[in-house]
Amino acid sequence: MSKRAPRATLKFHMKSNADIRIGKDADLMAQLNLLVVLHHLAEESRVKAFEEKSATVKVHHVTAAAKKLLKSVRG
Amino acid sequence: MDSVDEDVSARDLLRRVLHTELPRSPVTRSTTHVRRSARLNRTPGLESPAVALRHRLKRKLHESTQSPLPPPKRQRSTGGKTNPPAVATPPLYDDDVTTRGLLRGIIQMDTEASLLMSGQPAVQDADPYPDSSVSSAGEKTEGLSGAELSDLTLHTEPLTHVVRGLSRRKTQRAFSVSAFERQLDELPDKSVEEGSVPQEKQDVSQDLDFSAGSKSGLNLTLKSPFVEKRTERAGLKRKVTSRRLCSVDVLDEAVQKCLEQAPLPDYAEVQDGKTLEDSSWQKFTLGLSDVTELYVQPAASTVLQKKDDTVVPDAEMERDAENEEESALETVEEENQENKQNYVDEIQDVLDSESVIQENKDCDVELVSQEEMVPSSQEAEHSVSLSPEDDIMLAPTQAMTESAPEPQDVEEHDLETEEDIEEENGRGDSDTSQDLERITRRAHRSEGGRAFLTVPPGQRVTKSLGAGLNPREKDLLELGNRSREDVPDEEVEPQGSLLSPPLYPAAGVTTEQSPQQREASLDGEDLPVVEGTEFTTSEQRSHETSLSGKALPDTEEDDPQEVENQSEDENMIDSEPANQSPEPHSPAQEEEEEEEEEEEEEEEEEEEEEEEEEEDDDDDDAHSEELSMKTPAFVKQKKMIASASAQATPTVLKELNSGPAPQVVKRRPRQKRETGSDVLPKSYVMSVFKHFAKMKVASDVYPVINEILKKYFKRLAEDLEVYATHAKRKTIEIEDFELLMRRQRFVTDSMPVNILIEKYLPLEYRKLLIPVATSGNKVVPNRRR
Repeated sequence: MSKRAPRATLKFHMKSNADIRIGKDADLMAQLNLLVVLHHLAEESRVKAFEEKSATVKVHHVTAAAKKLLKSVRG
Repeated sequence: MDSVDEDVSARDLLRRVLHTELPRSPVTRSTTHVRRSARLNRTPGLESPAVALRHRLKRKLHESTQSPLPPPKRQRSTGGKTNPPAVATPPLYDDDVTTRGLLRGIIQMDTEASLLMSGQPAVQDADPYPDSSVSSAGEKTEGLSGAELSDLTLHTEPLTHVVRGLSRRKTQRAFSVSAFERQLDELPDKSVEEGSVPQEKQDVSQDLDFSAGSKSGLNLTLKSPFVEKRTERAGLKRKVTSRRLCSVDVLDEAVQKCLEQAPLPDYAEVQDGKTLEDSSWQKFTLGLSDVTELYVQPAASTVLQKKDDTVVPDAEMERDAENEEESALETVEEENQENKQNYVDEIQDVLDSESVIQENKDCDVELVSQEEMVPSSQEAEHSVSLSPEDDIMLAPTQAMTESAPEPQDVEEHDLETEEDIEEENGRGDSDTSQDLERITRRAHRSEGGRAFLTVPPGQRVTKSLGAGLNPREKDLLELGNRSREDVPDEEVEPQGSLLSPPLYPAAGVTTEQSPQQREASLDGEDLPVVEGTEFTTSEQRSHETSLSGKALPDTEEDDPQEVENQSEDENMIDSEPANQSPEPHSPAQEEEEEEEEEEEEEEEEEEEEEEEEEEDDDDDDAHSEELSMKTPAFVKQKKMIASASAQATPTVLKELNSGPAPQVVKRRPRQKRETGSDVLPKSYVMSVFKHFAKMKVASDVYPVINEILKKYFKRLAEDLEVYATHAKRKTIEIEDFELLMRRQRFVTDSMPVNILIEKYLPLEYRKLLIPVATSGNKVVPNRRR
């Protein structure tokens, strides 16, 4: 996959406080972080869907996986 | 003395050798090379041919006479001096010394072989050596040798080449080429050169001696066949060119004839007459394929008529017939014009349009002729036929096919093809007659006969002009609209007849307004034009007509045939009352509509009303725009009308309500979507998620993921800010992120950051993040640390 998230959007999201500044190419790390998180989320969702013996990932799979993930991903 | 004797004997010996031995130039060379390399350290290749011969001579001399030793010794020095490049070893020269002539002759033979390759003169020069009977010998090689023996001066150049041995071959080959060229030049037939050259080359490569000797003969043999072929080809070529030339002349004649006929107003009318068939034409226009097919037929017929003479007179005949028809049409139109006084303005418009149309047609004719010229040339097949008319006819067909995507062009082609058809033998007459009949029928049906008549030509003209100027189109469209009206009139005779005249102006206005709109349906084109014309004449009328015209285009779009008829009828009905009472359009229209409803089908009226109402809403703004634009409004209106008509609401109120409704509905969802905050583009997120999930993912999970990401980013930002502040910085740096990832357990001792970077990020980003050592002891990117 050669997809890229819009860097400007990521920069915007990284600024909880408007005054804070974003370093050069720091948003690339944000992209990396995002990809890693999505990857984990997808994995968990897949596992959940597999548990329910469903071929597709449904919403409730994702929600359940996300709950668990958000707790773990806490810097 | 001895040498002399020896020379003589040597010569004899040489002759004998040559006679007995087959041409072994290549073999000898190889052997000589081997020997040379063994004996001599000098360039073995150069001496191969001569050396080989020398060796033979030596042996034979030794066998026959043992005298050669001393003379060769003598001549070693001389030989070496005389032929330093040729021979390296004096003993070799001794053999030749048996005579220098022998050796030289041998060398010359080789050289001559090459010379022969390069040019015959060498051989020829060698031939006339009376001293060497060898030359007269049957064997070519021998002859060559003899020739060589005789001529020493001529072979200075070849000697060097010969000495080179292997190089000789190459050089000989080269020479052969040059020789071939020379020979070719000498030869009258150049075609032979090509054939002979390769052959000669081949010979050269194989056996120089062989080829050299036989080249002359080969050349001769080679040449003959090639010459024949070439002549044949030339003949073919000539034929083609001749044909083309004829076609051009014929085309010019045809063009002139067309031009002569172009200025005639009848011509335009005749075209119009053809357009009368538009009901069928219109249908055809909708289906481009049909039109092309139609034209293909005439084209085929034209192709059959491959005789310019026959075609030309036919065209003339047809044109005359066309003129007659045109005149008839004109009379009919004139009569119709006189009938209606209310439509004076319209008439004026029509007349203007007619004039314009005529002018346009003239231009069109020219264009047609031009087009014909062009496509005729393009058509290889047709060009062969070489009939100016054929070309002209073909041109329209081509133009038809080319302009297939463009309905207007198709229409034009229709006109052109019609013209061409007329030109064709018999067809044109029948078509024109049919047109005339149709025209007359329509005229009778509707009082506004002139309108009908004018319309059809207008359609045609507009269509033909479609490719051309817009203003013309407008005028033409008016006419076209009228023609369209004719079409529906036919379907609804009683109603249409009365309403036809007023409708025409309306139609013209509508058609004019939408000239720019290129729609598959002719009706759409015609109606907008008609509308446009109306506006020019009178605003009120324009409103009425626009309303009706708009309805027409809209309806037409939906159902070209049915809608057109209905819309046209409606327009006619509406236009009539509108024209009659320039007062408020809506009331008149409503009244008219009511009346129409009673009289005509409700659907039609509804459509009209819908269209009108919708148009009213849009017309007010659209009119102003239409006047300027005259196309987008109609398009919009048409679309609106089309949608409205499709619904076919029975009451006007519903129509009114329905009109504005769709617009509002469209806007709302957009606004809602825009207000929604998307953390990241859905496409990106979903694609990434699907990729990671490796399973089918329901698309409705996106909102959930969105929410999750929202929370995540919020947390992320807070953490980063804390980290930066902790580092007493005001900017979030990569280090902050690294810390974050470590705390998130994404990065561990066993999983360094760089690995993650390599794993997830694309190459461009990786370069930016991971320092890479480059030349010059530089690290990219620069690390602040």
